[in-house]
Amino acid sequence: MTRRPEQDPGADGWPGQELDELLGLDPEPRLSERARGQIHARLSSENARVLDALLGTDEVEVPHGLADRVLAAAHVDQRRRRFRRVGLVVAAAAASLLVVAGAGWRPLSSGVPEGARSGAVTGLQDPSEELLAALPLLESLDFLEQEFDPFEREVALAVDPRDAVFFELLELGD
Amino acid sequence: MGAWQRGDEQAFHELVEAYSGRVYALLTRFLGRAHPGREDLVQEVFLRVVKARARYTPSAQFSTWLYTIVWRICINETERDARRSVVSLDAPVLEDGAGLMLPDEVEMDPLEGVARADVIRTVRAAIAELPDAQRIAIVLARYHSLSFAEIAEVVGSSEKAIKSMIHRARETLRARLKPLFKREAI
Repeated sequence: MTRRPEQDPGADGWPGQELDELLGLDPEPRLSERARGQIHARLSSENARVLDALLGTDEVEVPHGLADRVLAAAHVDQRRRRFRRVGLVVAAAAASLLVVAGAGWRPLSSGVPEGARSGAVTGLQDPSEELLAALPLLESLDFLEQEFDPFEREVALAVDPRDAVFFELLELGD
Repeated sequence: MGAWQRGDEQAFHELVEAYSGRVYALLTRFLGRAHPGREDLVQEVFLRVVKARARYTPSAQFSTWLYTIVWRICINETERDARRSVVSLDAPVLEDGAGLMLPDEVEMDPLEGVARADVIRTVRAAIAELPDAQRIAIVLARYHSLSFAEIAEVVGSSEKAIKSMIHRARETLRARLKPLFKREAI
């Protein structure tokens, strides 16, 4: 145990002289660079070890089934994006169909050749009952156009079928 | 990742199995345990992976690339939180800085003891108080074993800057956790 200088003034000195003399022998700690480096390294590695140990107390508990839920979410997202892609394709197809249909109807009103017109109309709309009923008449008109000259055709159209008897009488008179 | 890019769907399952927990842990340590929807953010990370499937080039490790996505999400969330906190100035904040960031500590196993709970709370609070870049760097280095070069790639910085950042983070943590050092060293 070190004696306190105040209690041991020494034989012929002042209080604490003995300690001062002792310290005076080595006023500065004479540690080599190597020793100082070793102490520093040991302290800092100890500090690092303790810090790492403290940080190691912070653990994270991962929720059960997390991976499955992530996979399910990814699956749903993938499906949604696929549907969106299909939806875009369908919308584009519908738009194209409308454009084609529009282009198909235009020749009807612009007097393109008969073949092209009937080709475009076929399949888009069934003929009405009135049109079907009028077909024999249209055929007759077609016949008139091909077989009679314009004057005869006009007379034929102007004469009521009931006048047919009158014409027969005329022929008999000739 | 390469196998998945070539069309092997099972490879994606394996990626999720291997990394979803790590992503969750990183988000938890960076954003804090009170952050709402951390699990949703894990899903968000992997949805971004799915979207980037074609663009991924195997120049870096998959984990580094994945953590880069996580880091971006963390930054977005931090900015969003900052905007939220500006709105809610009345939110209570405890003296030790734990505040609302660490609510699940209340649910800690009582057998762990109050002393240990205090240590964990103090450690979490100390990590939470680090600046964003230092926090992600120390978390990636300490808990995910990434090298300085890999962390630099994740946060878009230089290796030297990361080294210095981690040094500063450790110094800060050591100073804040000093009261615990004696107890832990015994």
